[in-house]
Amino acid sequence: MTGFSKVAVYRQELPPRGGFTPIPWARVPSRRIPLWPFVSLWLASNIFGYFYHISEKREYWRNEMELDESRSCIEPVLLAEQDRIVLRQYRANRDEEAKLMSDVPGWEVGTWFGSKVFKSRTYFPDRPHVLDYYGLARPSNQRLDINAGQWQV
Amino acid sequence: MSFTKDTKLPSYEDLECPVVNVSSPALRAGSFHLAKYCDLQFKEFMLCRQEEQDPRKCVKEGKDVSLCAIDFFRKVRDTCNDTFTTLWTCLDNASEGEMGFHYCKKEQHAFEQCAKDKMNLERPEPGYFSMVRMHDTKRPVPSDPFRAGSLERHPPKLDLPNPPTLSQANEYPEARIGMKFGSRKPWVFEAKLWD
Repeated sequence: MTGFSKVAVYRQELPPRGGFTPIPWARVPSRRIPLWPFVSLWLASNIFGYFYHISEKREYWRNEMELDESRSCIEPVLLAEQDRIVLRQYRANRDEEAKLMSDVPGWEVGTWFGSKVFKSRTYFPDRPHVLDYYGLARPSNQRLDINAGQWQV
Repeated sequence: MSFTKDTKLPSYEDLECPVVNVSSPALRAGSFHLAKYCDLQFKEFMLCRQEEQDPRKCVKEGKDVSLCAIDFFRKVRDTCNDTFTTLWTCLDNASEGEMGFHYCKKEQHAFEQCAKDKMNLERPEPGYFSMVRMHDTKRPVPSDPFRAGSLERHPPKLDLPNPPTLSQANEYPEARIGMKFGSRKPWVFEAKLWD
């Protein structure tokens, strides 16, 4: 064709000399570690732990039994002292109530305007009731014995 | 507060008693030997408490308990003071504040040995105090029906005669009628009204 005397010079992008590096297309399996050490360790710890756990349980309950037994050995000493303290407090409360309500007409000590708390003539409470013990105490004195509930021997 | 003038409360003189002035770790340290030493008094008091369920009626036994406990700790102080003190200080310093004996086995063995040698007191085996113990007292059983140990609630067992023997049973053939066919149908009892 006419008018094509000059040719544009361009640079073509070609593969390098010698060709491209080969692309790795083959399968490459992942790194593996053996499973048998872990399984054997786990099984051994299970078997050993089973027997060890049983022996530890036995020892644990032996110690717990010892604590319970020492607590029940001490019980009579504490119960005797508690009974005496409680009876002393009952007497003091009764005297205090008589003193307080001496000017109230028609008040019988230990009753609520005539109606008694304990209807039976022979009954006496085995365990002290909060109101029987702390009935006439001021709150500051009641708060002193809050820790009594936490006492353990 | 709920006691009238009719209820009998013991007076202050009746309730006078020396206090067992011992701290809680020391009580726990000496608990087994204490229960062995004061066994009678403890059992009497607990039985009285369980049967009567009335603290007014067990004041005397309670005083015996307290005096015996004081006597025991005085004895311990006179003979085995060092081992006992190490034991209860060790218990006091036990982990978690539980005063568990597994923390202080060495001191416990030392105190037990000392108690066996000097005070002639042997600690019973570990399961002894969990078992039910029997006690015989001269105190009569309370007869109030509202109390747990009363006679109305626990009537005494009657003396029944022994059951008849086989030789005696042979003298009464009419009682064997039900066994006419052997033991094939033991629940069937044929009543032979006449021959």
